[in-house]
Amino acid sequence: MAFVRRLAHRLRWWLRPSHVEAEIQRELDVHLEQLTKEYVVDGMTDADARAAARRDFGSIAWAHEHCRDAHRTRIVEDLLADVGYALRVLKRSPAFSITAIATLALGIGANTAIFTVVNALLLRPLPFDRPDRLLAVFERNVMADEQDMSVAPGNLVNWQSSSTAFESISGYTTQAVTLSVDASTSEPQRVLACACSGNLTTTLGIAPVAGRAFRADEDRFGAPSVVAISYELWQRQFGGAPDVVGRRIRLDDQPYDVIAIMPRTFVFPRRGVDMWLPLMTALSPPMQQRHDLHFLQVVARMKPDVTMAQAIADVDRISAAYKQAHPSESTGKGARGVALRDARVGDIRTPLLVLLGAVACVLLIASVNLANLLLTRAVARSREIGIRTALGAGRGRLVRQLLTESVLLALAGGVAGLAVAMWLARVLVVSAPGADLVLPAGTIPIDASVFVFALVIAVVTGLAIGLVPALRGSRTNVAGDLRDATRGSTAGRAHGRFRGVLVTAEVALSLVLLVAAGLLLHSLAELYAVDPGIRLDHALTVGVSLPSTRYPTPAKRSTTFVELGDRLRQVPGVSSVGLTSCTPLTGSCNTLFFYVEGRPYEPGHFLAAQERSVDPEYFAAAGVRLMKGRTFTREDGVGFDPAHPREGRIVISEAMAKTFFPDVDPIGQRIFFDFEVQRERNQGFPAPRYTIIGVVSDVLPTLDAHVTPTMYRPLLDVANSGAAILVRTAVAPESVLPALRQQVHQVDAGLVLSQPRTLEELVGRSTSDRRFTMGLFVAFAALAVLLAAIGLYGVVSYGVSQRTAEIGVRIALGATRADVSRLVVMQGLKPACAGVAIGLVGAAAAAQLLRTLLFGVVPTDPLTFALVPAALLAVAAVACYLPALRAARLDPTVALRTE
Amino acid sequence: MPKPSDLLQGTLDLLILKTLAREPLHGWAVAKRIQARSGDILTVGQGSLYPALHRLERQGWVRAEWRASDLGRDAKFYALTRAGRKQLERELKAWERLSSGVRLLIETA
Repeated sequence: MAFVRRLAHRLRWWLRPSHVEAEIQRELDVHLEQLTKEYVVDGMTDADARAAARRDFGSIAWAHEHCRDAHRTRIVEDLLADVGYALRVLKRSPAFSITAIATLALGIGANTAIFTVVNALLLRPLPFDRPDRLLAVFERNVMADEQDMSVAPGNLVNWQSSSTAFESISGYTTQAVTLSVDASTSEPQRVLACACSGNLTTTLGIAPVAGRAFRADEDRFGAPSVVAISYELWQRQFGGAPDVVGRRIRLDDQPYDVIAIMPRTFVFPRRGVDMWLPLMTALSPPMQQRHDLHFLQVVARMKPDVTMAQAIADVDRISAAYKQAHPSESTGKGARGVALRDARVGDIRTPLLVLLGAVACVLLIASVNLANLLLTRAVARSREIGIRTALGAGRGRLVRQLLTESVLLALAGGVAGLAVAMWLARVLVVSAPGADLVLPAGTIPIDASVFVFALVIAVVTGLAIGLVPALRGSRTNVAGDLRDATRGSTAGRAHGRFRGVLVTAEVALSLVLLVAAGLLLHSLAELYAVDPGIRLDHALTVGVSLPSTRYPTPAKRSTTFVELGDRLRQVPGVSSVGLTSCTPLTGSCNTLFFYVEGRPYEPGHFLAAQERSVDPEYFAAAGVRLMKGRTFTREDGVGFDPAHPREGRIVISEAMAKTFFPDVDPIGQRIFFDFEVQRERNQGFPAPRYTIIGVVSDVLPTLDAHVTPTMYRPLLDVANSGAAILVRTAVAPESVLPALRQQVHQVDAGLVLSQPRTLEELVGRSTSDRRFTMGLFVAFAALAVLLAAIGLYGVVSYGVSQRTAEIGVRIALGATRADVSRLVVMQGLKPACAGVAIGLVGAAAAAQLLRTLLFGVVPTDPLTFALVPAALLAVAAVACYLPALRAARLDPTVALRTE
Repeated sequence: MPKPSDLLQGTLDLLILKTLAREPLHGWAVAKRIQARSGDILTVGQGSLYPALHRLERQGWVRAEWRASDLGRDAKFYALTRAGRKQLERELKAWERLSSGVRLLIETA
């Protein structure tokens, strides 16, 4: 009631200050009038009486002002006083203050660091103009039910010409090119280039920092070759030279004019892409019309008044109409779109948010420990608080004072935590999943929202850890406290219960974290135990590309690949060398649609499998086993000539044999490809048949992918311009690299060996996202358990110190040391067991959130759920046993004297 | 006339609360009552009475209303609230402890 009245009173003052002022004046006037009257009665004249009254009263202005002050909320003055007092108190116990600040700095720092990453990758708008208007567009249902198929150029062209819902639609694809800046002075090198529609900068709303955007007439077949370069490449390769725009460079042996430098913050489609070139210059007009070659990503900007659903319906309609008119073409039955942000960072949302939750748990546990510590302090300070109460401090005022102390601690922790966060974020951003899609290299993405976040959690933490201790600490019996501050046994029991609850909470939270960490750790162990189907040790992969200027025909490329393989095999330390169309274990290589000869043929109803082309030595070098039939010989490929197709040979994987030839011997079966059927129709080259000659063991596309049906075609026959070389060595794989380079240069000094990596490195990289999440989880869980153990130890120790006399009595009455330590341990373990029980429920729920991050482990993994609680209870027992030991060693005579 | 002794800091609240415990009064009456009841020993500094009343009002220990008075015009009457009564008890206890302590000290020292 009093509170409501106070509030109403204050509200009146805030709302109508002039009214209140007038009232004060009136009240004082009444008083003065009475004084004056008294003097008049005493016989004074009116004027004299008034003067005397004023003299008696003293300064009216002073009284008025003090009345007014009484109404004013003295927020600022009180706050300053509280802060000053809190600083003095905290300075008096530096050990406590430093412990608290350090704990908070770690907790707030870790939270802020994870938030920094979340903010940079998930919360901040993409660095494009009005990024919420941008969509990523895919084809859908090319085969059966797959959703996001890359787009064929014909579809892109259709969308661009017929869509009414988009301002601008751009396709792009990334490829490695060989860059030579200046043939005489610098080595040619491999860089990543993005072949993109000329309107990409328009779509994204980005302007180059120097030079100009592509012109429309530059994005067509046969147009003069122009290129925009990244800021990074400009600095790295051209030393930031001001005249680089207009220079001529060579890409894959073709001259290109540099027309623009893109902004430093322009990361598209991902970090490491150093060039952008018009897409259509390299696509012949028939290619541009193909609807069956799906290799483009598409980004599109919606018109301002168009909703996302309308925009998607628009392109879906266009694609569906085309498919209806051309049912036999392997093109999408429609189109699908998602917000560009979701397309780019949708995969990393779960791991990052889960991490944010985990780190919040760590802060919670740290806060619980501090609340405990503050509570102990509040009890120890009851005499001081008693004095302040006696001097007239209200309870609210005391609570405010105590809260000021905890908030001050938390703010100090927050400032220190920011320093921790800056350092930690710098480390995390390097390896955070998805960071290379969004952030330019070497940036530390700290902005104002990070500071606000740190401030807010510091204040909230300060209030949270201080509230219960402040409420308990301020609820004092003045007389009792002043008489004796140590014997508050009733308060002690209530505090003890509260402490038990805190311990339960701590143990429960750490169990959740520990189970999550356990599940992720187990997943990673399962992942590493996977046999990818390729021997990982002593293996090196490098890329090589034959420029079409000097290697125009498949036959020429085919003989060069043979020569390269033969030369590399001569290098000392190399035991075998195999060539393949793309680096193994880095995901799917190529998908081909095919029909089986002799089965009912219905155009458009094809089968699909992964395809990879390999040279005859690849299987041996990779360690892929022949299960049946034979593998390729050099006679199986001499460079394909579409005009004179020969009967092709093909090797398939076990999974492909099981999936598509479950009841027949696949050897001798013949298949033909959909793309060659299309070519037959368009260009008249008959579609060749391919005979299956062998079955080999399965190889996984990546460690965490399922076995997929795969076919192998002869690389020497397909002979595309690029190949990955797999080098099996008898020595350390990296050591042969210089000799490999030398051999390659003997063949052609213009060839570059790109991206040399060992297979182990490659697999390590493919698991880096998982290791990032798992590593942080393990770190957080370890921290949580440590904090919980410290908390439990503190509570039990405190309990022992409070019960010293009681324990003394027990020992004096004949309790054995074992009895005493059992008593103490059980008292500590009881809340810990409750925590484990509650934690198990929480962990089961949390495990469901982790589902998508697990590999080879169910969310209810029995191993984790059995081991983790046991381990945690063991830690808890140790934490309780140490103070129990001390209790058992008490000398009853000394203990009794403490009373 | 000897100058009445200054009120001990903090005791003014006690005196006001005690005075208001019996019935609601306006400021003038509070001042007169305190003076009369203490046998003219205690005089409330006229200037400090009103700020004290307002402070008590803000604390929620007294509530105030304007109504007709014996002074021939409207005056602001102060009445003790329930919280005010509790506060009065607390202050009384504190005062008793203090005064008994002081007396003890004076008598035995």
